[in-house]
Order: sequence, then structure tokens, then C-alpha cells
Amino acid sequence: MKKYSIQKQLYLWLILLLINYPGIAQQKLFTGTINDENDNPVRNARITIKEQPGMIIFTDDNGKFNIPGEKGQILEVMTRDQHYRSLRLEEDQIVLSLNKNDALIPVGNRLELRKEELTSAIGIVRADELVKSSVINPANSLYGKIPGLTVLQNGGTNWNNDPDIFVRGVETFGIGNFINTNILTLVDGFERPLSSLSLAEIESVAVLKDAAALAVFGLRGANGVLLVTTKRGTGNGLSVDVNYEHGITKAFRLPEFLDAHGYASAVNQAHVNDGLDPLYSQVELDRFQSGSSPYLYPDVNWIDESLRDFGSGNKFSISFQEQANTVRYFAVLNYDEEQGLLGPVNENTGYNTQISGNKFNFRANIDMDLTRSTKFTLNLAGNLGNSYRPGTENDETDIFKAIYTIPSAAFPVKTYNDAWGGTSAYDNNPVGLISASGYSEKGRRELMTDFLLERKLDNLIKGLSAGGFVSFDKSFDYQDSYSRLFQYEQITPILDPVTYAITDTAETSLGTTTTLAFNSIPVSQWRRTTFGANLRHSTDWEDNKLSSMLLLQSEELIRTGRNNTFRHLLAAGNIHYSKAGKYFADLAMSINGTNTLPEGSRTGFFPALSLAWKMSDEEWFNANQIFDNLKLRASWGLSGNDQVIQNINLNAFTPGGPYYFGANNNPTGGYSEGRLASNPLTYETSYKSNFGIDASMLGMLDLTLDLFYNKRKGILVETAGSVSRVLGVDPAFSSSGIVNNKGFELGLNIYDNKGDFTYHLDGQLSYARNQIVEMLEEYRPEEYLKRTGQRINQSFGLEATGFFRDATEIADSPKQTFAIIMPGDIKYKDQNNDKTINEYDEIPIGYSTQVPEFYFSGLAGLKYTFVGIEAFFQGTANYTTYLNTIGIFWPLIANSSISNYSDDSWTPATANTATLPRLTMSENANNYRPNSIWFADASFFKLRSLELYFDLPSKIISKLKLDRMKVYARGMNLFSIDKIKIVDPEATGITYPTVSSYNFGIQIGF
Amino acid sequence: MKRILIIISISALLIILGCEKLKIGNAFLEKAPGVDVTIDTVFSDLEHAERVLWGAYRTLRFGITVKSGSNPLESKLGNDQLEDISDLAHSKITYGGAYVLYYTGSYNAASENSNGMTKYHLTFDQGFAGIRKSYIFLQNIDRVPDVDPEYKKQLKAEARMIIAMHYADMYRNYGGMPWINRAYSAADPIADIPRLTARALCDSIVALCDKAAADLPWKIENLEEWDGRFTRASAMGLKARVLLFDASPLFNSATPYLDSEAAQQKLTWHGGYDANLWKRAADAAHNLIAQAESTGDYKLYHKDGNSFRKDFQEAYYQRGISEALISVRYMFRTPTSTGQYQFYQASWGYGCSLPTQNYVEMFPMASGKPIKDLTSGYDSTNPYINRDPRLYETVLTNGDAFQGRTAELYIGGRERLTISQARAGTGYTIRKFMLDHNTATSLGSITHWPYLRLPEIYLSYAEAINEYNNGPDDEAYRCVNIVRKRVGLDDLPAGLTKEEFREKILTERACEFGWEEVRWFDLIRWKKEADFKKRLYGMNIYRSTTTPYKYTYERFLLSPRRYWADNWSAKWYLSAFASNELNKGYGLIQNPGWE
Repeated sequence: MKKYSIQKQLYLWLILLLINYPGIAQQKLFTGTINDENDNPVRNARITIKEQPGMIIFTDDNGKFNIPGEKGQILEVMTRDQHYRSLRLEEDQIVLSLNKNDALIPVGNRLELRKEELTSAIGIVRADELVKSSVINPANSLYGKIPGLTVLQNGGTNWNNDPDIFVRGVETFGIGNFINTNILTLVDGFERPLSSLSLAEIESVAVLKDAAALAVFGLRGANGVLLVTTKRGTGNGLSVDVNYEHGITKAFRLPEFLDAHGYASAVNQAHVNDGLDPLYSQVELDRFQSGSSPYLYPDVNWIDESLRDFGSGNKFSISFQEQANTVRYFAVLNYDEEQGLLGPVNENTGYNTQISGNKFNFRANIDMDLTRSTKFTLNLAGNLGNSYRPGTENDETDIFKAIYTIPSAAFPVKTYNDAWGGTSAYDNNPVGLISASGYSEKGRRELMTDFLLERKLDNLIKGLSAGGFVSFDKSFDYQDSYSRLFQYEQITPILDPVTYAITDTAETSLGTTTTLAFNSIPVSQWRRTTFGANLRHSTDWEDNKLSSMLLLQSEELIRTGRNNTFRHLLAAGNIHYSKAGKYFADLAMSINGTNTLPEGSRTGFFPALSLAWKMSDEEWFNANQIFDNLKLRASWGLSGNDQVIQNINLNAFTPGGPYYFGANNNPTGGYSEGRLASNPLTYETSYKSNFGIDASMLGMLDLTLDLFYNKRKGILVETAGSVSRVLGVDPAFSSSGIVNNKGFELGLNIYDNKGDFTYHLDGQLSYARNQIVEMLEEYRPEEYLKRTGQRINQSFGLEATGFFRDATEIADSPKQTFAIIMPGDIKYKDQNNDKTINEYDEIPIGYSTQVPEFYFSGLAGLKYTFVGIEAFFQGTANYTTYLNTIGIFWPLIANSSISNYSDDSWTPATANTATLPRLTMSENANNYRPNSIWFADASFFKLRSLELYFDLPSKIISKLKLDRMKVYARGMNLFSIDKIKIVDPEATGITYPTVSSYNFGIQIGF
Repeated sequence: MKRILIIISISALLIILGCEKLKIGNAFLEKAPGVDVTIDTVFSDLEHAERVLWGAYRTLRFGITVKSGSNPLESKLGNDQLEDISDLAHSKITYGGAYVLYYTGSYNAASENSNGMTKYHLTFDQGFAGIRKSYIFLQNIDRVPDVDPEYKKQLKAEARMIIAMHYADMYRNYGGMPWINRAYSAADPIADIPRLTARALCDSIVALCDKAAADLPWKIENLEEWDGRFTRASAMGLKARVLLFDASPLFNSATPYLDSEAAQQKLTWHGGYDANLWKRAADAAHNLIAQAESTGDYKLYHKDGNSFRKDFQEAYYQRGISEALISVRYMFRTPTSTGQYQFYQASWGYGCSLPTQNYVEMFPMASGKPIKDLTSGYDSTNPYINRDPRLYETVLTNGDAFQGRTAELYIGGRERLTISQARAGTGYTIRKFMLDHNTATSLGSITHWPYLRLPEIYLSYAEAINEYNNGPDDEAYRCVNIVRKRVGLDDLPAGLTKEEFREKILTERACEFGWEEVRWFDLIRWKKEADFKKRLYGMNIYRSTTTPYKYTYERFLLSPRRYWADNWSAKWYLSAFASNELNKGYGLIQNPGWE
């Protein structure tokens, strides 16, 4: 046995190359041209010959190449934008037009197939589309980009927020707070959060939707899989890309609150409505209006005092990639930084309390050919992120809760003694929270590493290769806070009881001012280890092609906290067969085991079969002038979901609260019994069927249509609805829930060019409708009360029919049981005619509050020579939200503020036109409950981005010795058409607002 | 070639290793234990087994709201107290259970489905949970090795007492209940356990008490360590309480309080009047009193040097004293901050448990004469002097010593700044269990909840004899006077009729046991419709602007007026079963009026 150093091997191999090639007798030179579907030459495409590994030729600027080879050998073409074609060398002159069918689609486990060969439902978006978003978390670039992928924005700062992502809607539901709808996100084949990456690293994001694509993910695939592929070294020679972008952010929408006079008048109205005397006299109302005594009768616009109009951000990335003979690499450094929207942040020396964040990402993806048949891959990536905020107790929501709920008339920002304003009821002066609470810093450190080795074993069996891989990730979050408290002062006027003249003031100091207290805590960590091995084999005979794959993989993910270790063992296999380039079949299967389930039911088998027929390649089809391409796909199979509450198969005894016998403090610990054991307990199984059509027509239109029908079984549900309470303990859960989910996805692209003028229109429409078939629901006396048969998270509430006009109407109406009813309260429909309005009158209202049924987007792009404009819209429909945010939608209760949303509240004078119930100071359980007034249509249509760009012509950039240069101005989230109007329909709660942004950027490549 | 062989063998090894893992994959997929303790580990030694029993003790009813929230062990009626729906007190908390469900009359079977604001909730109040825990203990304690047989008997008797306690609570709130006789497993059919008749449930509770009494020690010897565990006196006392309820007219009557299927099946009615039930109740009380008096181990609390007030305060507030027959210990000290101590917050700031003027008027003069007695010396222009010492310890009244000064309950005073303020909104606020409302002394003091005190047994005995004999005898007088004497009241006047004597006892119970959850059950067992319908008052006290200050008193009607005052139905005597429980369709019969 000899030992070669890698270097030695490389040298040997290089020498071999130099000696061998010119000497081969039968070789001749083949020349060719590679064009794209618009007949533009493809430059820098990589040309290789399968039988001569190591020889790599690139096309020139005209798409031309020369390569020495032999007749009968296989020529392979790989473009920089991931299109691939192979063909047998016959003619001396080769002209290849690559089209969409040649695009390589990742199918999981580091395998790729040409789109033409696919039999499964997979959607994909590539880097060129993704980078049109100015975002920090790449997940936020996915809105409306892939059919079947629903991405819902959440409030929160740009560097922290994570959208909710669903594939084909939802088809399962958790119990209580347990979430089991998470999809599996894989980066280069390993489970990782998308937020760990930066956009500059990503080559493509693919969504796997049907069983054919998901079966190999076994127990983890049923909710859908997101495959993220990072960039690798491509192209000829070193190429460098530099991007810089400056952005200005602005709150997308901020609610408007009534001024002090408006607030005080509303309070008076509420008191009158409640049957009480008005709280403020006319004299006092006038004082609020005139602003004559700003300390005693303040009028503070807390939004103006606390926020500034614009935040700002910078993004910078530089990447290098090169493909040398034996080494290919891609390396990137990316830095994102953003300053938030808080106003008074410079009140302290030594620190600034702006909400801000920064993130530094790096990645090096290296592929090395150790020998002609051995490839070694190393991916090394990581990120360092820090975010800063004022040192409030929880997070920035403390501040926004204060801004949104403190009335404008509550207290001044500062009193005349230069103390923070506040009262015993309001201890959270927003400006004080921002500038006098100290500050806090959160940090994240992540490192992700992959090692892969692949060896061709043609000597053993032709077409066989074997590989092994190991991957380690580590992520750690910490928080350092330097927080303090501040003293505040309440100033109360003392009034003459008759004239309301201010006779004196009473000043009370509340709270205490403390110095900065340092506290450092580790917030969370996770670490993941995956290793495995695979075998691949591909062969062909006549016009048959057969390739197969076998994978064994073990993975372990450990998160902070108990029961947070997840282990999986996976054996997956796939056989792909094609005949004559027209008929395709895939058989995929996996055996997958999980540690989250008890022995005996922790392993599952998931097969899937899929077929495709490229109809347009049939002889008889050629006559057809409409279709350039027409392919039909069908798949059927299983996929699983093991996101199940852990350990519920056991009946646990946990230490309970103590009991205190004796006269001394002598607690005796108790035990309490946990929920009864849930057995049998198993994973969810989704039976998925899919039918798809891929078509290209008239040389200017692509269409993809997928229809699906899924049935999810084994969903964990509660049995309490049927078990008597005399049991005395929580009854077991049962894996007997069933949900149906069906829908379709339609993708449409139209593109054309007329000389210097090109345009493209893309449209996507996704629809997913789920229905609960079985959930062991408790008995409900009325049909309309049943959750079974409805959508998951269907909103239920009372149907409002108007507002009570007077006492007579109240007396004559069915009794409403939630509170004492007054004129102006919501009148409900008695659905079951039992003369009582109670929980039994709640009907389904609207749709699901979790996920919209329709999710669509549209893109329109125009380009004339080097100037282009592109607009991207995205919308939802059949989506409901519950408007229950105190202060914004529910005014005055809990001492809160009142926004202009309440302008249409009922008063005796506006009884005929009012759309909202009377104002009240009490937490009126009749009005403030789920009903048709507070369930609102959450559908929206948003302009997600609008971009004007200049792709500078090569004449100019070649003078600058550049490859390409693009300058652009881009707006994100510019407007929304919706029915909520006062805040973003995607973030109706109290959060850091969603933002619009205006970005100016430059991209340079050389 | 060698190299290839090596690579092949490495690959093969990898695959085999993988296969190996898959084959014995369970070794990899076996997780670290997520559950530390199962029933087998618990009952492997006495110390752990006992903890199951202590866990069961913890389910016992603690009648004071400790924390806000949905755990009724800590929060009664959603921030209120049971007294708030009796005539003794009123709550101004508009989101509390008293206001939302009872004052508005919106309580119905659906109210019991899921909210913790009802007066007794079948799951949240942990009755069946406590029963289950006790049975788990009873069924498994014999597995524990090396336990002294006598001690094991005592432990089992304690578990039986916990079951009896919970059924006693349910009996008084619901009447007959499904009887659980073991800890059911997941596989057991538990759907069709029918309600027992009221008679049978009472007898079953009594049987448990009797069985427990035989094995319990008469008193706790080591009070320092074990005060609060059940004694024979606890068992006898609980039996006496249950039998008095059983003999009372709610169930023991010629006619049911409301006719319905539940009444016909005798779940909420005994089917007729039986005077012997009073005898049975009297005997049970007498047995305890006789044994207490002969041994001298239990008697009404008195400490030399204490004032009457101090005696009364310590009698209900302190641990380890001779008159607490059953003492519940949810915590050792009351919470130490106002924010954590919901009863403190609610009674002081939010306005729960505001004593009514009606209640204040029940307290006699210090002499024992009722204030309506013209010879009592009661002065309506100075109503709070020379009253029953228990008034001052139960209700904070204007001018009483308070926080080192005098209480200012007049409008504009420090306790009642404005007329509309929730705090002291009836002109009074609660002193019982709150002491001085002083964060330094009321918070963080050692506490318990006196579930059953000896004076109740004396008064129950007197009541039962009075009913059985159709009038009070000397023994009945003696028993009532023992209770009155402790706070310095004169004996009851001789020659009272049966009805007069009964009313005297009920008033005595109200004065003695405010906020000890006695009054509500007295009202319902005597079917006191008139007390539900009567008007409830507060007191506005005005102080003159000039010194010397003069006070004027103005009774005012409390609002909101309770729904049942104008729309009375006898259905309110007992709770409704949750509609979603009935809907499970196993044949549970709803209580009268709630169908």
C-alpha cells in the first residue's frame, strides 16, 4: 500500500494530462456554439467530455468553443446559470440551444435532475430573482417567488424577523401551543435555518411539494421541504462581484391615535355610555385643546416623540469565484447593517439606544479533484450578528406597547421639574423607555461546516460512485444587557370644585432611578451533527437510462432545553428510469427512524412512485404548432411528520408544588401525575397525489400547472371531548386526526423581445384548501359549531347584526349573556333560536387566521437596451385576521389609548351609521370577543418591489475593465391594497412596525 | 488496485456501520430519559410515596384568592371570593366571576365549560384530581417495603379524608355526584359512571370519614412539624358538617326545591322529610364535642392577656391552635408583594369582597344584643362603637384603629378618596385575612385557611338539636354561648322559639365565619330565597368640613343589583354541570333549572 500526498497526486495527474492529450490518435477537434433560449450566445459555459475527466473548456464571448474528442464520446455542457445538456459526439459542428428544460433542479440529497427529466412537483427560484429583494434574512426574499410556497411576513425588526413559511398551505394542527407545521429547510443537504445565510451566498431555493420529491425525507417531509443550494465556483478564471446598497427604511404604516382633546372627549363619551358622569369638564377639555397648560393637561403624540421618520441601512458584499483545473471555489463576505426607527436615542453619553442590527456572513465553498475520480468538497460558512436595543425588560415590544397604548393625555414626556412624566397607572413613559433604560446587546455566532468525499468506482462497476459526508454546525446566542430603571413624576392638578380653576398641584415621585446593571446570559444554542454515506450508479443502454441512489444518514440536533434533542436515522433510495427521452419513472423510498417517538412506532417506510410523459416528443405531436414542449407528470406516495410532543407515551410523575405542614416553614414536596400515557403514539403520514403539466407555447409562454390532493392521517388530537371529567387527570392524546388538503398551483411566464426592447410577465397563483376530517371533537349541539369539516384555524365567532338602540330593544331581544347590555353594545344573531346569545351561537366567520387559501404574485419587467424597470406584486385572498389589539382596535379598555380606527364608534347620534360598538371604559365581554366585527378580511395586494435599473452597456464597462455593472433604485413594500388600512394586514399586533424601504445600489463584476 | 480495495473496504465499512446503526438503530434513537419518574419509582420507597399524598393534600380547597389567573386553587371565582355572591359582600371587579357570571345572571351550564370563574369548577377546582391522587396512593402504598403497619393505616386514612373532603365540597355545590372508587386507567371505561343520589353520596362520604377516623390519631403530637395533617377530630368534624348539610331543608324536605329529572332521581333531594337526619347530624357533632371536652385537646382558642379581638383574630388566622379541625396549607406565608397577592390587591384596590351594610348590621353590640334591640344602646349616628369585637376583625369600619392611625372610610378619607372609587366602595373594606392591609405585616405572614373550626361544630350541634327537638334545649344554648363567650358577648336570651333560635345561629355563623365559606352554604341549605332577593346596601359616610368633625351616614343601594334579586329561581342553589360534559353523552343528569 502506497501513500500519496495530495500534492504529489496533483502533479502526477497534471503531467499525465500534458503528455496524453496531444498524442491520442483518433482525436479530432469539435467546434460548437451554445445559445440560450433567446438565441443569445452563452459565454463561460463549461464544456467537458465525460470520458476525459479533467479537460475543461469554456465558451468564449460568442458562445463558441473548440474541444478535442472522439466520435461517440459524451459531451457535457454546464452553464453558469445551472443549465446542463449532454450529447453524443457525432457531427463536427455542434450547435446547442439550451432552454428551460435543461435547467438543473435540485431534488435533495445533493442530486440534481434536468427539468425535462423531473417527474415530481418542485418549484425553484434562483439567485438572479432573489437578489432583487433588499432584505437581511433571505427568507424575506421569498414572498410570491415559488408557486405553492406561502410566505407570510411578520412584524419585528428586519434583522430579527422570520416569516411564517408553508408549503401547500397547512394540513396538520398542533395541540395547544405545540407547533407541528414547521417545514424542513436544508442548506446544501443539511438542516439549517435560512436566516443563518445571506442572500449573496444562495444559488437557488427549491421547494419540494409532492410525495415523489418528499418520500426520501421520510418522517420529515410531509410539511414540505425547502432546498437551499449555495453558490459554487463556476466560470472561467477569477470573477469578482461587488455589491453595495444603501437603504432608507420607513414604517410601512403606523396607526394614528387621537390627540388629548379627542381622547378626553372619547373618555367622556365612554363614561356617558357606561351610565357615569363625564370624567373631564368642559374647562378641562378646553385646556387639552388649547395646550395652555402642557404639564397638567398634556397633549403628546407618542409616535412623534418616540420615533423618527426614517431609518437607514447598508449592505455590502464581495464574492470571488474561480474554476481552475482541479479546484473550484466560491468565497463571499457579506455585511448588512441597519439603524432603526427610534427617535430620542442620543440622550446618553457613551452609548446610543437605537434599535439596530448588523450581521457579517462569510462562506467558502471549495471543490477539489484529488484524483481524476476523487472529489473532495469543503463548505465553510458562518455568521456573526449583533443587535442593539434599549434596555427594557423584555424586548422592543415593551416600547411599542407603551407607544400604542398610552393615551396622548396621560402625562407629559417630562414634567416641569425635568422629571420623566408618568402616573401610577402608566409607569412606562415611551421616551423614558427608549432613552433612560440603558441598552442591551444580543449576539449570535454561527459556524457551519461540511466535508464531502466522492469517489468514482467505474473500475468496479461502470457508473458506480460512492461518497461519504460529515457536517457540523454550531450556533450560540447571548445577551448582554446594561439596563436601568428611571424615576418618574406624577403631577395632578387640584381643582376648585365649582370653577375647575387650578388651585394647586400635587406632585408624586414614583419608581426609582438606578444605575446601569450589567447582566449577561446565554440565550440559546443549537448544535447539529450529520454524517452518512451514499452510493450512486448510472447506466444506459440503447435509449434507456437508469440511475439510482442509496443514502444512509444519521443526524443529531441538540437545542437548549429538555426534550430538545432530535435524532434521525435515514436510509433513502431512488431509482430513476427514462426511455427515449420521453418516458420517465421514479421510484423513491425511505426508511426513517426518529427519537421523538417510542420504540415500536418510531420507524416508518415511505415509498413514492411517479411518472412523466413528454408528450411533445412523440412523433404524432410534431404537427402541433402551438406547443414547443408539453409534459405530463403524476405522482403518488407517502411522506411523514414526526413533530409530535415528546414523551407523552409515558405517564409521568412530576414534582408538584409543596404542602406546608407544621408551624415552621417546612415544605414537603408533592408529586403530581401527568397526562395519561398516549398509546399507540405515532408520526403523521401524508398520502400525497399530484398531477402536473409543464408546457411551453408559441415560443413566448411557459406554463406549469400542478393539482394536488393530500390526506394527512395520524395527527395528534385531544380526547378530552369524549372522556368524562371524573377521570381526574388529563386524558391521553390520540393519533387519530385526519385532514384533507387539496389545491393547485399555476405558474405562467410570458417573455418576448422586439429588438432592443424586451419584456416579461410572470404570474403565479397557489390555492390550498384544507379540511378537518377527524379531530375527535367534543360533542357540539349545533352543526355550525363543529370544527370538524372546517378549515384548520377557521375563525369562529358571533354574528353581529347591529347595535342596540335603547333599553326597549335590549329587553325585546334574546338575552346576551356576556355582560350587562347597554345601548350601543353589539347585537348578535341568535343562531339556534333559543332566545339566548351564548357560545352556542358562534358560527364560522371568514377563513383561516393561520394561512391564506390563495397566494399569488405577479411580475412585470420591461427593458429597453440597458434601462429596465420591474414591478413585483404579491397578494393573498381567503384570509382572516382577528383585530383585537388594545389601543389600536380596542380603544380605552385597560386604560389604553384610542386610535382613529374607532372614529365610527356608536353614539346615540351616529346610531344609524356606526360600524363599531359604543366606547366603554370596562372590558366589555359582550363587545370585545370573537365576532364578525373584529374578524376582518386580511387579504392584501402589495407592491413588494419596484426597481429601476441600468445594466450599463459593455461599451462603457469594458473601458472600465469591468465585466458588468448595474446601478439600480429599488423600493420595497411600497403600498398595499387591503381592508385593514390603519396597520399592515400582516402585522396587526403590537410589534416593531413592518417597513417600506428605498434602496440605491450598485453591482460590479470583473 | 490495492488502493481501490482500500477504498472499497472503507466504503463497505461505512455502509455496514450505517446498517449496524440502522439495525440496532434504537441505541441511537433511544433518547436521554425525558421522564424521570413513573409510578414504579414513586412507590419504591416511603419518602417518595408520601409525596403523592402530600400532592393530594395540595388539591384541598384554599378559600382565598392568592394569585390572579385561571388556577382556581389560587384564584377563586376569577379574582373574587365565595362571600362575594352571598349577602355578606359585594364585588366591584367587573371582570371577576361574581360580577360577570352571578350578578349579571349570565351563569349557565356553558359557564362551567372552560372558565375558572365559577364558584366550584369540576376540573379547575381539582376535586376529581385530588380524588385520583388519593386513590393512586391507596392502590400503591402496599407496594412500598418496610412501612410500619400502623403508620401505613394512618396514611391511608389521610388519603380517604382527602377523597371525603373533595366529595363534601362537591356535595354542597352539586348534590349527588358520580362516585369514583379507584384511579382509572386510560383503558377503563369511565364514560358511564352515574351520579349517586344525594343520600348515597352523603352516606359514602360519612363512611369514608368513619373509616378514616378509626385509623387517624386523635391529635397531632408533633405540631411543630406536622400540624395540618388530618386527625380523628378532622374526620369527625367533616362528618358533622356533611350531615348537617344533609339534614337541612335543601335536600331534607317534603318537596324538592325545584322539580326536575335530577330531583325525581333523588340526586338533589332526599324524597321527603326525615327528622331523624337532624338527630344523625346532632349525634355526629355531639360525638366530637364530647370527646373534645373530655380530653381537653380541642377547645375554642383563648390566650391569657389577649383581648377578645386578638383571640378571635388568632383563632382564625394562626396555625397550630386547638380549634382548627381542618387547616389547609397551600402556602406557608402569604405572598410578599402586593402584585403577587391577588386577594390583597383585589380587596384593597380593585374592590372585591367589600362588606355590605347588611353584613355590618348582623353584628350585635359588644353586649351581644342585636342592634335592632332598642335597649342595645346602638347609636345610628355613631354606629361603629361598642360592637361585637368580631365586626372590627372582619370589616374595616370608619374610625377603627388602622395602620397606626384611624381608618378613614368617609368619602374623601384616605381609604375612600372618592365616592366612585372601587376600594372601600361600600363604605367598608375587608379586615379578615387582610389584617391591617399593611404591606409590612399583612404580607408575608404565616398563613393557612381554616377549612373547619370547632365553633362551627358547636353551632351545628345547637342547630341540629333545635331542629330535632323543635326548639332549643339547655345543651343548644350552652353550645351557642360557648362561641359567644369567647368574644365577650352575653348569652342568648332564654325562651327563644325554634325559628328565632335558628336565625340566631345563622347570624352567629355569619359573624363568626365571614370569608370562611360558610355563609353561602347556610343560605342555600336553608333555601333563603328572601336573602337572595333582599336589597344590599353600602354606606356613604360624610365628614363635616369643620372640626370637630361630625359624620353623617347614608345607606345606599349597591349596584349592580343582582340578577337573581329580581328574577329569582331556586336553580341558583346548586351549580350547573358543564354543558360540554353533558354533551359527552354518557348520561350525566343536569341539576334542576340548568337543563
